[in-house]
Amino acid sequence: MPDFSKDLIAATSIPLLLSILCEGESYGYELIKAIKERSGGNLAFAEGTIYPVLKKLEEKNFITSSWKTADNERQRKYYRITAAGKKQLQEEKANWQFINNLFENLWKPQINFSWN
Amino acid sequence: MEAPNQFQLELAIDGYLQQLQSGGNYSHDDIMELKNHLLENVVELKQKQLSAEESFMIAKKRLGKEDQLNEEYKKVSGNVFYNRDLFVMVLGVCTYLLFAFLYTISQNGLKYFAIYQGKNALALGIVNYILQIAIVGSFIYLVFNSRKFLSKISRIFSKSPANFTALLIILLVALYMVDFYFQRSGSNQLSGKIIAERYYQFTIDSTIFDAVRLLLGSILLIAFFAAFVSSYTKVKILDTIVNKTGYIALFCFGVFWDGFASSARMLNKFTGNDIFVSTLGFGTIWFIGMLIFNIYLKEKVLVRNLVFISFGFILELAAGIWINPHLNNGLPVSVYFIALGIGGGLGYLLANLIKGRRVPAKST
Repeated sequence: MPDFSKDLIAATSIPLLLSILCEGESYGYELIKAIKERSGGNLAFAEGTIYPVLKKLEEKNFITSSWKTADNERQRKYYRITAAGKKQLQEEKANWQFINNLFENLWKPQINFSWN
Repeated sequence: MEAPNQFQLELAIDGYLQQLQSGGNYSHDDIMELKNHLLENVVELKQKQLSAEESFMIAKKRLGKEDQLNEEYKKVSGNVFYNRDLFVMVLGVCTYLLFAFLYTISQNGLKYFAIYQGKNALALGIVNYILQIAIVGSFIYLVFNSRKFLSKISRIFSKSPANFTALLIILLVALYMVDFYFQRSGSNQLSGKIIAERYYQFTIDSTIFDAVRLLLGSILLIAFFAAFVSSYTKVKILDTIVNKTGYIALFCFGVFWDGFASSARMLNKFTGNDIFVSTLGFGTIWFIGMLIFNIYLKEKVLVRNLVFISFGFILELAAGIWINPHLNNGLPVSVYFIALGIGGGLGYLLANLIKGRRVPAKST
């Protein structure tokens, strides 16, 4: 399992959560499960720390929340992405894609130089 | 062995969350969310043949270290003060006052326009009734969604506490002044006879108005009964009101229930002011209220009963003592108080008979 730094996880958490919420409303436990599944169980973090992030997203109006009663009669807090959240996700996507391209270029095997 | 295990698990979770709460800044909402998370995780782990204790330990570990959680929550929760019970209580009282003022302003204001300004009494009467339903309805909505509103308000509060406090105080004082103005102004301009005539016109001299009130009252009663009968085991709303609301909210429901019971007074109109029928109606509604209340009530029987009934008890007692004791056809107004005692008491007794609970002495 790769060892991600706290800072990296903190930086990715917002686009990660917004991307999953883009697929439909969800609650904390389900979101954590989704992240685990999508990362093949390789992205490990303290599960409780997801909630303050959700709180922050709600404060910025990227998501909204509401309490609903689940089938097992338990009260769950469901989160839903807002229009502002979708816009934010687009920006994040562009930024991450830029970073991704940058590293790809930097780390591309530079065969031509060494053979001249 | 499932039940005792489950119980201990809840205790363990509550204990852990309490410990967490004491070291950091968590709102009621946050704690509920974490509790739900732990429970979901434990249920899943138990399916993998782990014991409740093992599951709890693993779920707790996965949640993260206490210090880490405290730190992360502190970053987003603002000032710790606004998550405390006292703040929530004060805010609750302010909200209640706000709605109480709106309620009386709607009543007194429209009465003022009808009596002193001579505006159309029937139209104003109907507007008054719709407004009252809207105000009470939104208050009930607020109580049921209080967690959502609370987290929003405490966020605004922690951003600019001084501004928000000032705004709240100004709003409450302004509403009080408006209410006071409507209550007092013009009281000397008209003779008592004219006031009585117009007030009579405003409140009762309209068959349509009465029919509307009767219809809405009946719908409310039928809806309440339907909800009660169809889902004695399922209904969560009644369970929430009776067992889980705070005392202030419970008191407010008592106020609304007494208001609902008091609407039986309109029966006087149909029976030529024979107070007996409306007293019977009044007592019956309190009987139904106490019956349903006590069927759902699980704990703190005496205290919650007293809170629920206190407003009606005090109001009707005061009315019986201070209002002209022979207002209606020679019968004293205090018969309402007696009806409340008998109706409420019978409801309490019957509820406990149904549940087969031993009735403690002097509980109503």
